[in-house]
Parts: sequence; structure tokens; C-alpha cells
Amino acid sequence: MSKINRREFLQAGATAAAGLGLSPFAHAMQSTDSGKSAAKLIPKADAMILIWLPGGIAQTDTWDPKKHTPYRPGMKGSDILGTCPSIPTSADGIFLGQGLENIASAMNRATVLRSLTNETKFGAIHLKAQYYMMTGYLFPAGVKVPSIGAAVARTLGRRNPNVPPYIYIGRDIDTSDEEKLFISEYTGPGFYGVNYAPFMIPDPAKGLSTLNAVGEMKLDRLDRRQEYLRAITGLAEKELQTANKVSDYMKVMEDARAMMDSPVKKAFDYLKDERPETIKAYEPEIGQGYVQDKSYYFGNRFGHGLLLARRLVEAGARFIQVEYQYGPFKGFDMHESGKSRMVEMKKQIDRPIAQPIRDLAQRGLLERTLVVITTEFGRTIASQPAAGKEPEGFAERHTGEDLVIENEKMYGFHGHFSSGNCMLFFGGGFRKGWLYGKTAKSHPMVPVENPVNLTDVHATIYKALGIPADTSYVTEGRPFYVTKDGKGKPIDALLA
Amino acid sequence: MNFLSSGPSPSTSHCRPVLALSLTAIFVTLLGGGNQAAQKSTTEDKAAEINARKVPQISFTQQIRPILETKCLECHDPEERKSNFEVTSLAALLRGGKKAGSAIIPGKPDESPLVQYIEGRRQPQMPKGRAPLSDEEIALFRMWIEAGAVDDSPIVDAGRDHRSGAAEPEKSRAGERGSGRAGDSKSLLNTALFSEDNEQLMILRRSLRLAMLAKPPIPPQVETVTFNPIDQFIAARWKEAGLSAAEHQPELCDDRAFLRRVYLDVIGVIPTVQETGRFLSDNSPDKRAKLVDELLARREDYAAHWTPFWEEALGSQTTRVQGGIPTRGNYRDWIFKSFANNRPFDLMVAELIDPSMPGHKQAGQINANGRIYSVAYIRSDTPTDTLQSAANVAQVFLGTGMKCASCHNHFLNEEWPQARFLAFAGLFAKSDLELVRCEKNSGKFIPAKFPFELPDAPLIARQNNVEARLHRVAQLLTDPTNPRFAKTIVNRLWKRYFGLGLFEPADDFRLDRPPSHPALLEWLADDFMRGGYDLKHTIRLILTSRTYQLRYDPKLEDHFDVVKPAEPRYYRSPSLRRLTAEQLIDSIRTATTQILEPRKRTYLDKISTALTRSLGRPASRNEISTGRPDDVAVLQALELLNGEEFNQMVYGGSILGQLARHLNDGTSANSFFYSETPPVTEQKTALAAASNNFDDVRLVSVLNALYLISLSRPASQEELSAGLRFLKSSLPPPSRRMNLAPVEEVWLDDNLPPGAKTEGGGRGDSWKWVGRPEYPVFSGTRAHTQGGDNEFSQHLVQGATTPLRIGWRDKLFTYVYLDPKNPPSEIMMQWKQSDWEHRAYWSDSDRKEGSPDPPSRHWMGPLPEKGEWVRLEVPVTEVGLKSEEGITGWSFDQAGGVVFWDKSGVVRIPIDPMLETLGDVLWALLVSPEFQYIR
Repeated sequence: MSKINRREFLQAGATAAAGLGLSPFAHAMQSTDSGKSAAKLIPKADAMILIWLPGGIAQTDTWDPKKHTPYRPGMKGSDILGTCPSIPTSADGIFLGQGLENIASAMNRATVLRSLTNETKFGAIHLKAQYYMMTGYLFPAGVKVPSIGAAVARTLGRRNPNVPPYIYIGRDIDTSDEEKLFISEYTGPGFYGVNYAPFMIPDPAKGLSTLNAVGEMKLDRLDRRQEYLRAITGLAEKELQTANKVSDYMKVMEDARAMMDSPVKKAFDYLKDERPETIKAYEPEIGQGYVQDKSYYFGNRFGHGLLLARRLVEAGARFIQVEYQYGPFKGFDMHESGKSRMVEMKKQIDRPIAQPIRDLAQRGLLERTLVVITTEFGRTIASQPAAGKEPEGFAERHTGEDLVIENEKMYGFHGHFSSGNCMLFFGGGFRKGWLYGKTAKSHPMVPVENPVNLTDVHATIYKALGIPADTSYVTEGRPFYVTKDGKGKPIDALLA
Repeated sequence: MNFLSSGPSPSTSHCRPVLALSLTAIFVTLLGGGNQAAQKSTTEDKAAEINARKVPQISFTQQIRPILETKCLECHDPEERKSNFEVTSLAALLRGGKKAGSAIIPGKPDESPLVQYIEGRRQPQMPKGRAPLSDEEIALFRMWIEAGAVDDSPIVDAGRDHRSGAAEPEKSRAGERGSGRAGDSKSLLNTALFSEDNEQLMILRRSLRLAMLAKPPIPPQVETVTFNPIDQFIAARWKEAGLSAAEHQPELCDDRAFLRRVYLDVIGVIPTVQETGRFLSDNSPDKRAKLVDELLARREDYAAHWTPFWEEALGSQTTRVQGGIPTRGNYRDWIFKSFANNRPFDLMVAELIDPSMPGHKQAGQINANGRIYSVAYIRSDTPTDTLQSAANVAQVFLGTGMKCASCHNHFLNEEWPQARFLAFAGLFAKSDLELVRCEKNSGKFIPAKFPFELPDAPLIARQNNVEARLHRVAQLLTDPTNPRFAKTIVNRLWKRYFGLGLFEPADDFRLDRPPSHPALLEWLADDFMRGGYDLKHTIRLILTSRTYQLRYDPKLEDHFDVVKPAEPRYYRSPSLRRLTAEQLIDSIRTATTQILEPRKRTYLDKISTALTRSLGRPASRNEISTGRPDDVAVLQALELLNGEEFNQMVYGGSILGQLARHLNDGTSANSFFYSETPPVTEQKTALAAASNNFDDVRLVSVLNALYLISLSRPASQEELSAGLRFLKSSLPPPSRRMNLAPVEEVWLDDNLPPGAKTEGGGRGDSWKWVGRPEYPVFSGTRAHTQGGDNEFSQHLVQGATTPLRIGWRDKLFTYVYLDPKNPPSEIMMQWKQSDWEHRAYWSDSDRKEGSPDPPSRHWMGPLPEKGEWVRLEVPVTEVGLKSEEGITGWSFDQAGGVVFWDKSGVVRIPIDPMLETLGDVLWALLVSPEFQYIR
């Protein structure tokens, strides 16, 4: 049976057998729920890709390079300003750390924010800082706080009725304890509920498993099974059939089936559809054999995730988050060997991040697609390279005067730095080739020009998407806002 | 449903006679020969009959129960349960104990074991070791039993205000009931006055303070049929609002709807076929009340159903730190035990908050990043912690959202200026809290004070000592004169069983948003307190009300809209409620295995899955919540449609195999019917003689069995026709149905799988190959054992280049030999997919009540026979292994002793098209709205 026929058949079946609504898509259409706000904004972006690089990236080696101070045994911590040379970019006056040449070539389309700072100093606690970055609220907030993705999904709804509004790529869900599950919670829908939960795609190569028929089941059997479900539902008690909750439920079952044939499904066939050189362009420049920690290497997962994200934007997705999976003391969470590990990490992200920017721009989609890159906090020089030895907030003002760098392992940025962090924005109504904020040349490298807080940054992102910062939804009988207490003020200097 | 009254009838269609015949058989089986149609039409009359039954001369509540409570309860309370016998209710007496069965035989005092025991005709004479009952007391029992042993408590005896003229005994009883402590009020007073035990003091204080309460509202007189006072309040409101329901009462739901509703509400699962049969074929007029009692008495199942609600309401977590912040600790066992023992609710809450209560739950100290944190429900390390603790208590136990008032005056609720909240929160701190408005310190400290006026109670706390303050706030919170406390919990009960609370939202009680039935709420709260804060008492009252038993009708269903909070609610129909993740999964397990294993209930499972998350079960309880949204979402639907976990449950249960066998060779499907009926095979043989199509007969009985296990009812004529059409178009013809033989694939015998390496468990354990003749070998030339001598040791292989492929239905197997001279106390195997969280173990020792049995640690049974090779098999689903990825590691573990292991691998169960087709039918039934919703 061809797709068109099958769909017509489904619709007819639903109507005739159960008397349940006309279109399997009706529910999807209704699921926009724009929340409450007095303001009206004109959106600059229709879709967003959030590239999430948790672990705490050393901004001094990447987005905010400082003077290169090569390693010498016995140097003082305070002498380390940058572990790599700066490179020019396609944007005048904007330099990045060496190793980000591909991203550098796309910087003429970027806004770099270098002066993000936090009042709260998160100390050793990554998860709390990550929670803050993803939700805009400090944990515990007293309410199950929705993530940015959920807020966008709820407020703007679906762009295409058959493409989920919030898709999350690149993280295994570790269910072994609640501590680990906590991570899922702050990228989740919070009190908004399951309708705004992300569609989790741990591995882009495997796709979204529930879009494929389970086990060895053939599609025609799946459809006959669902047809039988409609038939017996049509024989149920009248009271059940006429209940709105039941017709909603049956509609959602149809909606799910329709999604199996939708463009989102097609987006997963990237290995088949894309040219080999395109696929290659999304892959990292370093193989597993060349990384120090071989247990923490995800191969093409991150890069292919970004390729998939691009394809999903083309298919009509609203919000896609792509993560370079967080692991304590792994990836960007560098305490020892900060320099050499940073070199590796840059090789892992440079090409994959630059490519979707190029592709989206080339397709004319970047204008209406916002791509944001962020991490939970920056890095500084701590009193000790080892993790967890720092008194809370101490690293923030520590200058490394009394730290002697005895060996190369200690050379790098190893202290968590909540006072200074960077973010990158491409397209979607942000300025191009634009630099905002400035940090000190020596430790502590706090913002010295235009410091901004996260609430206002979130408000700026929301503004680009056409979402007022005081948009609220009711929980426990009170309004709860997409930016903290509805008070975010967009930073117009970042917007075109 | 009219199909039930249709008998055999002439028909032109080919399968019609078969259908009809077979239906009759099922029907007879179902009803034990009774006539359901007739029964249904008289339900209403019988209910009225119970209602109108005369009050006997001897009152159970006023004369019998006081004797039971003072003379028998000490040993036969729900905690002690000597001889498995308790005397807390008539149902308990009827249920009896393990020695003599039912303790009373209504109408037959001489034959009643209870009378025999108290008269000394049975030994030991009761009360054991105490003075025998007086002749007068014995005479009361005899007369009461003679008159039919009627329970005249307000639940059964509706029309009458049960408290009139009985204020004194009621009051003293209120203090004791459910507390597990017997004694009249005078001895209670004396014991408590000299006690160091805050719990005793609390019970005494409760009974004294209860006496201060004003009389509760009197249930209004109405002319319609009512089962208990709840119905009087509800019906009076109908009349007041001029609803037609006042004249034409909405109908009661039929027995099947009631059965499912009450099972899911009380124990959180659907009934088994046996249980369905027992209830539907019971013709006694009070069968519904009996069922409520029976279910409430299943204390572990009852507690299992409550536990997730309270874990979320309290923010109980199994980890002690989350996001670098200490949690409030793990309350799961405490919640479970409290509900299993039906702890009075005020004592429970006091225990949670007040460190001086003997049962106070304190999860202890932890060390995170060099810091010591206390882990307790109330946390006051920082002012923010204190405010959150206070706001949580206010939300959960006072039904008041105060979080807004932490930083400023409440936006929407004038009742809560910030200072009032801070005064309340000060009761949870070691000293008064500073007013910090919008992040600016004011230098002004707000004296701690309880926010409600309670007569003659000290509302303030001056000590700068957190224990003293918590002691005080626990007293005030649970005090009978604090109306919010009892109203909040009875409203939560109401919401749980009707779908919508008497006030909504249940967490946001407001002066400007009155409850829909203020007098009823007050009456329920009062009754709950005087009943000793006994949750089961109020639950029973609700579940035996006529209002609860009404038929679901979407036209009459109430709705709550936050935008229009003043819209009235009438409760002419219950709300349609979606099953929770736990109810759904546990019910499917019940359906597909016909066993409810307490240790396998979903709430115990620490694994959060895509299915449980999509169904609204929180992945972690980092923020409290007192209810889950019952949204439907595509994400969920995709899980039901294509999710491996859901489909595994549906297609992987033992039931399909049994039905397929029945279909193949006519093997009895008896277990799906009722035990007291003749075996189905006999009926089938009889039917077969009358039919030319043996296959149809079997198909019909299989379809009926599928309906019975899933929807707790047989299929209707139309449903059978639809099912037959589906089966016939999907099943292979009888001649081509076959049971394909399982195939065994060995993964590990004398050689390791390619690429795999052996390891010890890391404490000096190692992998050791052994051979004949010194050691036992089962297959090939060698077996393996562990090389170290640790008490708990493991040896394992991992890193196989080609993972061991598995399918849903497959089983892992191994051969094991336990040394009879030196056996272990436990053996275990672990498998690695992405992690090692897949364990099966064998152990003789009894596990603790309520201890978890998740796939990450699954108990398979007692230790196998010693001194011989035994084959062990573990279905992959039991240990949570996914067929998407293969197995790359296998670990062999033991606690003490000497153990040898040999050939291991997988038994592949081939896909059987017949099984799959039956599974498709079952899938449709389990996904159907009738299964997914409580109506």
C-alpha cells in the first residue's frame, strides 16, 4: 500500500470505526500554547540549534584567547594566560584560540559574547551550573523547571505538524541512579509535562528507535494491529467513545503512526542521502587512537548529530539540542593536562560545528535559524589542578600567584570560573561578525566591559525567537516565567 | 451490555451458533450459574436494602468494638497480628486468623470461634494471660452475633448521624484507633502523663484537643438513596442547584466497572481472572463493601500503590546528593511501612518533622566535598533551605502554595504576605528569619509564629533551637483545631478517588476560592480526625459511598479550569482518569502473568525508562509534586506503538504461550476462568460435539480469555466477531501452526568467546579454569570457578568482539555446581550491555519487606540443589536486557562457599506467528482506552 493510500485509509478508518476526529494531525496542530504575556514580538528566527558543550570550556583557549604563555617548568600559575596562540577569523578584530580554524572561517556570521558572568559561584558543582544554564533558575527552584527547549516547544509549537518541536541529540540516558538522571531533568519539560519533553536521540546513527516498528514487525502488520485497536475501541461503551479524553488519546495514537512516515523519519537517512564529502565534513579530525582518554570518545556521534540537526531544521523542527556528552572529569571538564586535552577537544568539535553554519547559510536557512554554542561556566587558574579541592567560590578570585607549575600536566586552566563565560550566536537575528564584552588580561579574568547576566542572555535568545521574557505558564496556581521571575531584559546590542 | 442476556439463537451465519454456544459457556463460567442481567438490575434495590436494614439491638461501634479495642487489640492489631488475626473491623473478624478461620459466624454464636475462645471452650482462653471477659461482655458478643453481626459504623449504616448520643465513647476511641495502643482514656492519660514518649503524649493531646472541636455539620436530609453521609451532602447540592440528578439519581456503575475502579484505586492494579470471577459471581448484597475491605486489608499492595505518590510529595530520593546538593534522603521504606501499618496520619507527619518523635526518620550525615550535610526532610542549613522546607510542608500538608511569598508578598493570594510566611518558616529554623525582600536584607527579623489561630495553643517558638521549634510546629500542624491539616489530606483522598478535589488545585487552598462542598469537606475532616486520623477509615467511607460508585458519564463529568475556578463540581460522574505509569505497567504484568508479585512492582524499580518517563513518572524527584499530569502525548503513543519495553511486556508474558497451546491442542485454558467452575476443556468438548468447527470454539475461548485477563470481562458478541475476523485473517491455518523448537547457542564453554578476556572482581578475585578428576566438569574438559578467597567474589569475562545477540523471548542459561560441603549463601550472575545493571541471583534467605527487586538485582529463587550440576535459566526481560544491543560481558558471583560453573549461553525462542497474532490482539486490548483509563 502506498503512503498516500495508507494515510487516507487510516483517516477513513478512524472516522468510520471509532468516530474519532478527522485528521490524525489535529492534535499536533493544537499543541501550540503560547503562554501568557502582555508583549508581542516579531520573531527573527523560526528554529534554533543549541550546541551544548558541558564540562566548562576554558574560554581563554577558545572563544576569548589571551596572550599565549608557553609552558616552562616552575612557572607560576598566574603566568598562564593562554595555552595556545590566537588565530584571526573571517570577522575583523575577532580572534579565536588556535585549533578552531573551521569555526574561525565562519565567524563573520557570529556574535561572540565574552562577558557572561554569574552572581552565584558554583564552585565544584557542574550539575548545578548546567541546570542554571539550561533553565535560567537556580536548583532547587521549588518547581520542576522546564528547559529552554521545552519553553520554546511549548510557546512556539511545531513548525511542521509531523516533526517534534524539541529534539535532543547525543546523550545516553544513564539511568543507574537519580544523580545521573538529574541531568535528564534539566533538559526536560519540567512542569509542562510530557507533551513538551524532548525526543531523545542518543545516537544519530541509530535514529529514534520508536519511529521504527518494534522487533521484527512489518509495517502492514503494525497497521492491521492499529486498525484492530480502532475497531475494538469503536465497540466500547458509548460513554468511553464520547469522552474527549478518549478521542484525544486515539488521535495521539494516529499522530504517532503518522510521524513514522513523516519528514523527520527521512532526516535520519543521512548516511544514504548525503554525499560522502558532506558527511566527512561533519566528522572530527581526530581518531580514537589519538586521544588520551580512549574511554571517552564518541566518534562521529557529535558531528553526525549536527548533520542530523541541520537536516531536521530543513524538515521543520523547532528546537534541537546537540550535546557533546558530559562526563565528570572527561571532555571539557579538564583538571589535569588541560593544554593537551584542549587540543584534542578542539579537534573533536571544530569541523562538526563549523559545517552546519556553512550549510545553513548556503541554503539560506541561517537567517531564520539561530545557532547557539554554550557551556556552563568558564575556567581559570585554581590553587590546585586536582578537582574538588577548591573551597567554594575561591577559584573566582584566585590569581595563581602561589601555584607553581611543576610539570606539564599542571599546565592548563583547571579552576571552575562562574565569573566569566562566553557564548556564540550565529544567524537568527543576531549581529554578524560582532564582539560584545571584554574580560581582564590577567587573572582573575573577570568581565571588565559590558558584563551581562544569564537571565538577560536567555531573554535575548527568546526575543530573537519572538518570545517575550515575561511569557508565563501557570503551575501550582501561580505564573512561572521563561526567564527568572519574568525579569529578563534582552540585550539589544547583540541583535541585528 | 445486552450481549449477556442473549442465549443461543438460530442464525444463518456460519460462526454464529458457535459464538452463541461458547458465549453461554463462558457466561456460565463467569457467573457461576448466576444471571448477570438480573443481578445488575437489582443492584440498586439491594443497595437500598442494605441502607434500610434495621439497626440491631447490640451496636458494633458502641458496644462490641470498645470491648475488642480494650481487651483484644493489644495483640490483634494490624502491627502485631497474633495468629494473623486482627480485630480492627467487622471484615477483619470475618476474615479471621490462621487458627480458626472466620472468627465469627453471623447468626451462630455457639459455632463462632471468637465466642469459643472467650468462653474458654477453645484453648488458650482469650484474652490470653489476662482476666477473662465478664459474663455480661460475653453475652453482648453472643447477642450481636445472633442478630447477624452487623457493622453499624457510619459507612454501612448511612442514614443516621453516628455520633449522636455517643460522643464520649467516640472521643476516647478516636485517640486510640489506629494507634496500635489500647486502653481507656483514663489509663491512656496516666500512661501518657508519665511517659517520655512523645508519641504517647501526642495521642493524649489529640484526644483532649478533639474534645474542643465544635460539632461538625449535620449531613442534610435527602429523599434519594444514599449509602452514607457523603451521599447526603452530594445529593443535597444537586437539589440546591436544581439539577435533574436530584430527582433522577445518576445510575450506579455496573459491577465490572466498579471492580476495576476499586482495584486500581486501592491496590493500583487490575484484578486477576480468578479475582474477577470471585467478585462477579458473588451474589451477596454487600459484595462491594466486602471487596473494599478485602482490598484495604491487602496491606502491602495498598502500601505499594501509595508509595510513589508520597515519594514524590516528599521529594524522597535514593541518592543522597543531587546536582551537588544533598537531598532530603530516602523515605521509600518508611512510607511503605507507614501505609502497610496504616499509621495514623498525624503521627506520620509528626514523625517526619519532629526529631523528638520515637519513629523520627533521619537519613543521617553525609560528606560531600569535605562538607558535612544533614540529610533530613526538614533542611535548615541556609535560609533558602529553610524557606523551601517550610514551603514544601505548607504545600503538601496545608494545601497552601507559599513559595511565592518567600521573596515578596504573594502575587495572587492576599492571605500570604511575605512576613506571614516568614513567621511560619521561622518554625523550621534554629532562629527567627530575616526579612529579605527582593534580595535586599532589611535587618528586620520576623518572630516565628504559626499562621493559623489555634485555641489555647502556643503559636510561637522562642527557643533558638531547631529541634524545639520543629517539635512545636509538628504539634501545631497536626493539631485537631488546625482545620487545614485534616482538610488538606481528606481533599487529597477525594481527588485521588474522584479525579477532582473538593478544592482545586489541591495544593492551593485559598480563602478566595471556596471548596465546591464546604460542609462536606468539613464533615469529612472532622470525621477523619475523630476517627483517629485513620486514612483507611476515610478511604473506606469514600469508596463505599454511592457517589464513588456512580457510572462514568462524560456528559456529567466535572472539569476544573484554573481560569474559572468558581465553576461548581457536582460529582454526578467520576472523572475519567488515565492510569499512572505504575498502574499501567503493574496491571499489564498482572494481565500477562496472572500473578501480582509484590517485589516486582514498578515503584520499587530504580530504573527510569523512556516508557516510564513518557508516562509521567519523574526520572528523579528533585522537586516535590503531589500529582502527575495525565497528558497524552505523541512521545507516549510512540512508546506504546513501537517501544521495546512496552511491547516486550505485552508479547513476553507467559499467558500467550498458554493460550497458543490451547489453540494448538486444546490444552486446558482453565486457569483463565474460575476455579469453582468445571474445567473449560469439558465444556469445550461438549461444545465441539455441537460444532463442526473445533478451531472456532478454541478461538472464541482464547478471545474471551484475552478480554478477561485485560479488561476483566468477557467479550461481547460484536467484539468476538471483530476478534474472530482479525484472528482468522492473521493466523496461519491450523495445519500449519507448530511449536518451533528453541535453539541453544553456547557462548562460553571450554573456550572464551573471541576477543573476550577474563577478569577478577577487583579484590584479588580471578578467573580459574579447573578440570577433572579433582574438580567437577559438566561439559567439555573444563569448568571455571573463582580464584580468590573473598567472602563475596566474582569472576567475569568481557570485551567480546561479537556481542551475544539476544531477542525478547530468549533465555540465558548456565550450568552450576554448588559444593555440598561448602555451599555459598548466594550466587549471582551479571550481564553487561552498556552497563552491568542486569543481575539475577539465587538465595535461600528471605528478603526484607518491600525491598527492591528491579532488573538490576532480580531474585530468581532459592539456591539450586547442591552436589550436582544444575541448569539455570534467566529470561532476558527479567534482568532488563534489551534486544537492540548484544551482551558483551558475563560475570559469575558468589557469597562464600565453593561454586563451579560450566557451559553458558542463550536459548533462542523462535518467533511463532500464532503467538505473535495473539499478542497483537492483546496489544490492542492493553492499548485500548478501556484499559488505559479508569472509568
